Amino acid sequence: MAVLAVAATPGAAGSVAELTGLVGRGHRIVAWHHHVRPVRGRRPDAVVAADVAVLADLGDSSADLGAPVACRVTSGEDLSLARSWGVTVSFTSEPSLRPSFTGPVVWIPPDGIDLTPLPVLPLLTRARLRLAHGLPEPLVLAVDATAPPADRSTSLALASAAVVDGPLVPLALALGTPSVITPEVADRFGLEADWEVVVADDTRSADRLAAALARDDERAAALARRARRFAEEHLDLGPAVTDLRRRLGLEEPPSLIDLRLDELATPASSRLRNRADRALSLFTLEPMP
Amino acid sequence: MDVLVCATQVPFMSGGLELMVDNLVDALRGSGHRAEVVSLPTAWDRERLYDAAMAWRLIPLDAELVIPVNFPAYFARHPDKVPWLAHQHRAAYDALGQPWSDFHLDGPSLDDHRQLLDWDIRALAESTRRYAISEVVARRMRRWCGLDATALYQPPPLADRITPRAGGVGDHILCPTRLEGNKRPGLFLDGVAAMRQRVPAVLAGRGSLADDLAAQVDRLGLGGRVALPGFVPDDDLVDLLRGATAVVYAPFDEDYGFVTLQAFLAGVPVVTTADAGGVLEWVEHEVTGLVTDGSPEAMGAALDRLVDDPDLAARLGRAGRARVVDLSWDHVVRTLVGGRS
Repeated sequence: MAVLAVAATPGAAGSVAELTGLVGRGHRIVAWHHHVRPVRGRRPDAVVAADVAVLADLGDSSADLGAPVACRVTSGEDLSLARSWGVTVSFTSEPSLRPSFTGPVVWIPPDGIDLTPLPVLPLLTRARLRLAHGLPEPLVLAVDATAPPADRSTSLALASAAVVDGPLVPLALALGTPSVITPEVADRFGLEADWEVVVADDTRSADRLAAALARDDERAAALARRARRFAEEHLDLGPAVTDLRRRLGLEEPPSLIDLRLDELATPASSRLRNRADRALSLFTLEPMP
Repeated sequence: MDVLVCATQVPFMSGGLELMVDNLVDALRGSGHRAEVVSLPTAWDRERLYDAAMAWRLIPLDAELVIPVNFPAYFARHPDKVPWLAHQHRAAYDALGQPWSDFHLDGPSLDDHRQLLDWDIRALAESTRRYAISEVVARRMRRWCGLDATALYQPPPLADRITPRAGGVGDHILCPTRLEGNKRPGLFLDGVAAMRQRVPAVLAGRGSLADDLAAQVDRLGLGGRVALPGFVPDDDLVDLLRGATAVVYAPFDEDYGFVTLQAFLAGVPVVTTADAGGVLEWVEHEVTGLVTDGSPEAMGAALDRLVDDPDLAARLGRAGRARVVDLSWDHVVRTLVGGRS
């Protein structure tokens, strides 16, 4: 288990808290204390810097630290500073920086969510589960952000179709739930009507369109698939997290079979990953004496 | 062009899929392409099901085009992948929760089911174009995976040898099928027993239900009317088809069903059931055959009707033949290859 330190100027730590939790999954996460080295009796194996201002606390340059550093940047000036200091990798959610990527900068989706704990339950499977549990068929819901978090996820995971409130759109897309949303929300996320979602101007037509969607299983399945792909391509934190973990040395470089399993978006903790690991472990090469 | 047909091999088993693959390779070669079969063994139990899929991801396929024909061969990794699917892994799809499937709605099983469907969607979405052997298979992909596919029909085995007999329809009722549960050969025997007319009938084929069906024949008092010849060689099958008044083919939710097409080529109408799946892409009630509710009474009445009215049987048979006579491997090859040489 490695030690991942979080370095932040006062008030900045919150901006990297969720991301650091994901990057440091399976490792020990500590706060950076520049007065006390090494950290809690051990040098950090990697550092996440919440802003460029904290880099000076880490040393004059990366060479002083002796550990890889990932640094959050929010402007072109930040990016230049981070590079001149010698960070291993910068990351940003600033859209204006995205097109100018020319170096080791990782894009963090601003509305990003971790899709790992949100696998899709296929729509026809949902129908069988609803039947098994005595739930209505079809199950058309209006889900808004006032519902408790667990209820939102469960409702959206089991629904035939749903009218979805703006803040819950990433969750609905992630779960592959055929969703009806407003034109404003579609614009905000860049969603295409009748491709990833259905768009309705008012509540009454939203309810009617959701009911129609629930009756058309081929159309619903196509929307559900594209919704999930949209979430993976535009909202998923997973690829950025994996990239950062690998650059920070918190995860082994991928083997060929890892890359192939990545292509199929196979979850890290899945039975199939474990099965592949077990098969490959038989062929681990020991150094020659 | 160089084409690899990718298929799943189940050691020591051979059936319709292997025949389809051989015919496709022959047709590709006949059209001037270099074609080979690549097959990898697969186990169908849930524990090992994914191993072959992973293997397909890892092997190099040096060709200009690959045509996977079934699960998990479509996990093949290639920039020009054009699946022509005979089936996905039905135990995880429409058979989810059925007694003969090892995919159920409990936790670990549901996780595997979700994983399999997610993988399937990703592997199939990589395709340049997607085809299925029938609309039933294509529709299943649309409903479960949200992916489009086009039905691409092939001629049945023996297509070049089956012709209508001169002088109208024949004198017996025929059911040529594997004697397995999903083919429901017992429905045929029940239907024959319910007939008013005492015409001879033939249940041709082999399978695990052979002894049970022989017992059913005795139980129904059909010993003098129904022949159970077991496996019949191709020449005999052609003769049986050409000499039939009607063919009964009533599997449950069939993917395609060569028997229907063979009967039609012989100019013989088909009696089937409303839940027969791909058979219904060909059998249109009162047009190319008769569709029943599967009860013995309805099946018997449909067969009596065709025996009583040979003109009706001949008319339905002619209409059936008109629907299938133009199916060709040339068309299949042209479609899959996409006009490239």
